[in-house]
Amino acid sequence: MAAEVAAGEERQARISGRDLVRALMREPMALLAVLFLFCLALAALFADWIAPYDPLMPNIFSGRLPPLSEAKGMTGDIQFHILGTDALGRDMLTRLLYGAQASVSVGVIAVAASGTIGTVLGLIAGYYGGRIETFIMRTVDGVMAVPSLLVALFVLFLIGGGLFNMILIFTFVRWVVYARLARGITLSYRESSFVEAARAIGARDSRIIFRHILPNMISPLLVLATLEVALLILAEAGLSFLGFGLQPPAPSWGLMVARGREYLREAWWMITFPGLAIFLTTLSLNLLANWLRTITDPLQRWRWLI
Amino acid sequence: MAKAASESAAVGEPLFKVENLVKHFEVRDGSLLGGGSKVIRAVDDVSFTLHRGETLGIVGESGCGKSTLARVLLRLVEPTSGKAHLEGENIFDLNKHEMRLRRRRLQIIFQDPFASLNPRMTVAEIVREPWAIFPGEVPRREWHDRVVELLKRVGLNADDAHRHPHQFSGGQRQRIGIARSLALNPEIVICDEPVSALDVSIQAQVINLLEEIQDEFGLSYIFIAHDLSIVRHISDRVAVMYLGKFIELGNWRDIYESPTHPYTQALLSAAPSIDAAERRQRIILEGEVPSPLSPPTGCRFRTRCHRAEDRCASEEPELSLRGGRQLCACHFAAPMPA
Amino acid sequence: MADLTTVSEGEARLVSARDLLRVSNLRVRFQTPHGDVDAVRGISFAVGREETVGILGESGSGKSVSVGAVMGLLDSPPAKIKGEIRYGGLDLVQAPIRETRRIHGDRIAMINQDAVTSLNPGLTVGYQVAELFRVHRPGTSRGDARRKAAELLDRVKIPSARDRLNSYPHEFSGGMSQRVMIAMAIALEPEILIADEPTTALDVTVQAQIMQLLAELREQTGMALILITHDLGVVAESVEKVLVMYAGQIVERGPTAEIIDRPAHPYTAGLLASVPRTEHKDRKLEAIKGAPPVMSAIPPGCAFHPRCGWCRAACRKDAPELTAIEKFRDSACHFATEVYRG
Repeated sequence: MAAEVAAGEERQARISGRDLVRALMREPMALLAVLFLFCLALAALFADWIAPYDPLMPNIFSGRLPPLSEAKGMTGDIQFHILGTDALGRDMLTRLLYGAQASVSVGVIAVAASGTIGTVLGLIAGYYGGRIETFIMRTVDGVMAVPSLLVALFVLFLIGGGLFNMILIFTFVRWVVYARLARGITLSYRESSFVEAARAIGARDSRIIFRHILPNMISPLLVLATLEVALLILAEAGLSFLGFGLQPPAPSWGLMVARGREYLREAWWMITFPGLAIFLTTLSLNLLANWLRTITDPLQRWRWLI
Repeated sequence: MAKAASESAAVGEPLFKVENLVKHFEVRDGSLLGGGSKVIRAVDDVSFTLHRGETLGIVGESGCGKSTLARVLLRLVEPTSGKAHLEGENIFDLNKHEMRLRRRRLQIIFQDPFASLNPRMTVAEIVREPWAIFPGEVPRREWHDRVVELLKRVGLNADDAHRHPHQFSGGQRQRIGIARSLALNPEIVICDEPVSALDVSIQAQVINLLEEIQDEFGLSYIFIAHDLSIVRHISDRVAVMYLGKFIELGNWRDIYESPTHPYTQALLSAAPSIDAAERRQRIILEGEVPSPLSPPTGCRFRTRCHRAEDRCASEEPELSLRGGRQLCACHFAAPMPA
Repeated sequence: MADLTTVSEGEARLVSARDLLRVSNLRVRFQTPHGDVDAVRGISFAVGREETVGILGESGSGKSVSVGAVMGLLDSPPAKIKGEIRYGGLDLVQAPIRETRRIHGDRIAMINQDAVTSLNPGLTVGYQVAELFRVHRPGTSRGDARRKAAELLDRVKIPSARDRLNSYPHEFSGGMSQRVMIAMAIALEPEILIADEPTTALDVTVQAQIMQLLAELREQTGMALILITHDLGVVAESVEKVLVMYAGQIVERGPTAEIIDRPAHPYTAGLLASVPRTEHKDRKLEAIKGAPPVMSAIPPGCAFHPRCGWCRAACRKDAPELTAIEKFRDSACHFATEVYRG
């Protein structure tokens, strides 16, 4: 009976922007995560302006300086390294900021591309059914059946690493998760009364799909996409760490961890800061996803994510 | 002929003529080894004529096929066979594009006022969507005024246009659904259990509204419901459905006051009533409706019928005039003993 | 029973020595993230031995929450229950759970609308019925419990009951599932059976079967019945006494036949008038205007006043008490006598 009452209230819980902010205020962990991600996004976008020094230029005077050190730059000026420097004397903070750029662009662009492709194919499969559905969903099963990191490793080995290739391969292996989700939700809405009502007033398929069904799956897609960004940032770091992703001297968190590993004993900061950046970013994304999931219709939509 | 007699109460000229409509669903057998497929006979050989301005009520219990019938008539589900002539034109012959254009003449009001409105759209967007689909129907600059006009007609306010469905009660949502179905000025509206999800005190409001707009817009209704007293109130003629078939069809008074099919008699007697005078000798049927996957041979009602004889198992009774003024599909059609 | 002095004449009759269950000034409040919601706002009633009482109301009237409180089904929090629910010597609101456990499901049993989901889909029907005896009557042997289960299914007229013991719930139709629920409810021979919309999900012909079954079982066992429903017809045909609820309060009560004949509250009168009848075929139905209030926004004064044709200034300010207008007849309306006289 309490559920009955709650359900009645829940139906009214459509979320406006202001409600969202208010709900965020009540959830300190989610608030911290959002703030962190916001700063990260700013850092990535404006790395060129914020970063104090050049991310690529080595400096023979300042190799492996601990945090809070001062050193002479190549041009003779005095540089302050708040997070220390790496083996080639490059400023850690600068490289972290540019590394954020790489991670965020891999994560966001690949998620946008795979999300769009997967959602559209899932919508088509779910709405039309029949052979189209069989074809799309068997392809999904096929892609799902192969371990995506291994495939990525193999393909990147063949075609070479780099930002663009990574985005390409991530899009190819990850569109399937959106296709599954979108198809499942489409199936549940295809027979719903409001879709029937749209058909009864003469709406074309495209209108029904994009105007009636798609808007109703935005929240679960958003939750999924958030988790996927975290996954891809980890994958980017992992692949770069193994040497198949971004290639030196490009700044990447994964590469920084790989290089820092060699100096684990002498220079702890070289591995700690990029490691921390990866950890905090994925943690924040997961916290955000969890919070989004509870805030957007806790009764209905989350179950498609299982 | 037979038809003429039963349809004497009809209001205007024939508008929508349905002949031998059949809808079978194939379901796969559950077995792993391929198995066969079975057929659900959801609608099985249904014929009737809807006249301009009249209300044809269709009553029956869950699973009798009345909702499938509604969807097939709108071609939301494709029929297996049969014809449906809308003023001489068989709508089942039309291609997808032609059918889309005819949709404005045939509309539907759904049962569930929560599920039938897209939660992401505002009331105005919902009501005017038909005009976005059929440009030229209403010029864009008139949209706002026409939406307000329609909302007022169904008993809502002008400010309601910008709200979302979740901000309304069940009865109000049903009004929004009615406004949407009126937007294209249809001739026929199929009402699929339009009030059964509503509170008792709200049902009467919506029924009254449906009756008012019927006169104003010159609508013909196919009114599907399981509530017998509501169907009696709104219908000119009534069809009783059992396992995909019409088993009795006629003027409302004949169906309600002197039913001749044993199922109609049992159904009417089973409905609880607040009027002591209306309570009849209750006929309690044995068992429940058989599965439409394997309906009984011959007469489909015979397994629960107290009049059943051998003949009922072998010979399927036709829906025809059998002594009364209405059409009845029973070999032993007879009024109830007083 | 000192508080007897404050109750009306109708209630005085209800609160007699024969009473099995007595609910006094029951209030249920739910704490929700959007604020507190009063689902039941002070209701009192009693059920005597072998009595049949109907609770009539629309969605949100608090009828289901009231019996939920009686059955101890409300989790606290979010529910806050105040008042008294007296059964035997026990106040079910205050009593510790180890004591109420002997009452709920045993002395007071309940069936609800959703029989199909009330059964565990993973266990056989026979196991679920037999389990009742093993839980509530420790010491019952497995064989005995099973034999009793078969008898019960037979009593609720499930054909070839013994064979159906091994069936799973999905093999039962809605009507058959409701019969199983009834079998489980009467298994321990309760003194009170609460039926919450027992036939709402069923078809008319099956509804008739179930109501007939309930009537027969009542006759055999003499248990009291509390029937919760929104259906006037069901109330009219199956209970002697009825409480009409609106917005968490009882607005009218009395013998069913008399209320249907001559309602004394505008809401009851409105409900009765809105039912389509043959002789009114060509007339408009007399609908009650507006919609029932949501629990979180109950109008001040008389909760029904925005929808009421009798509404005067007093109704917007003062909530009317449930008072006697005649023997056994109570109404909570400032104009009860006028409504009653028509």
